[in-house]
Amino acid sequence: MNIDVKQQGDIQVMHCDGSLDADSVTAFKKVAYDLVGAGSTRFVIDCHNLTFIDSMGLGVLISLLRRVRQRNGDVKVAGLTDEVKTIFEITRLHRLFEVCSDWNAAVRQFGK
Amino acid sequence: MTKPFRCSLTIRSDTRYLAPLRDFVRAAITSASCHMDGRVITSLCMALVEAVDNAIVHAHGRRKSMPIGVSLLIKDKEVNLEVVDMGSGISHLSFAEPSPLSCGGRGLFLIRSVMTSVASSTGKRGHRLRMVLRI
Repeated sequence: MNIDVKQQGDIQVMHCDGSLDADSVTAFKKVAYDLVGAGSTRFVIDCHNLTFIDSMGLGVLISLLRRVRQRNGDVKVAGLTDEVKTIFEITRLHRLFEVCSDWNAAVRQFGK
Repeated sequence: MTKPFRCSLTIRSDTRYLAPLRDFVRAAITSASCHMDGRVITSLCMALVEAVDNAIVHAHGRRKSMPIGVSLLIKDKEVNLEVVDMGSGISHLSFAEPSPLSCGGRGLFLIRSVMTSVASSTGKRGHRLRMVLRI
């Protein structure tokens, strides 16, 4: 999995390419938690190129959400592919996370 | 489809095999000349990955040398997936949905959500998780 982080103001946009599963979850956690450690609390997870997510990938997203919400931050997910959208719906996580059409829309949502 | 289509493979307990396993499912469906829509294929990939995740993490404690057997059978309107590990099995299969903010415990829930039936058995050859999807 490749993760490309771009900062938009105080929002960290994590562009994820590949699959977020047991094989890549440690790398994702390292990048995300380092950003939280440096003070970031607003995240957009761009899933446009995310091809698959398993329960461990979902777990790390929830863990990130819990961490930043403790500090009045948030994690928004954007650009879900059909496959990933199906998994979010089955697990009802589309109710836990704000799901946006694309990462630009998610960044705009932080401004509202 | 008239003839059943069966294929199997053995992998090491290594998460690097998760992506090839998803390709394995897709290739088997194509080879069986069986038409399935994307949601069904996603369900099968998800169930297999979750079962193998459990084998790697819980049954084998991430010891990469331990083997995991995977088999897939497509027949009539049914897909059977089996994952065999060397663990002691699941004493009580719980498919309960975890709370939304829980970071773990979704594997079996996900499997049960997408498959028609799930059964676990343990014998001399290890633990076997059988998952059936009726299409």
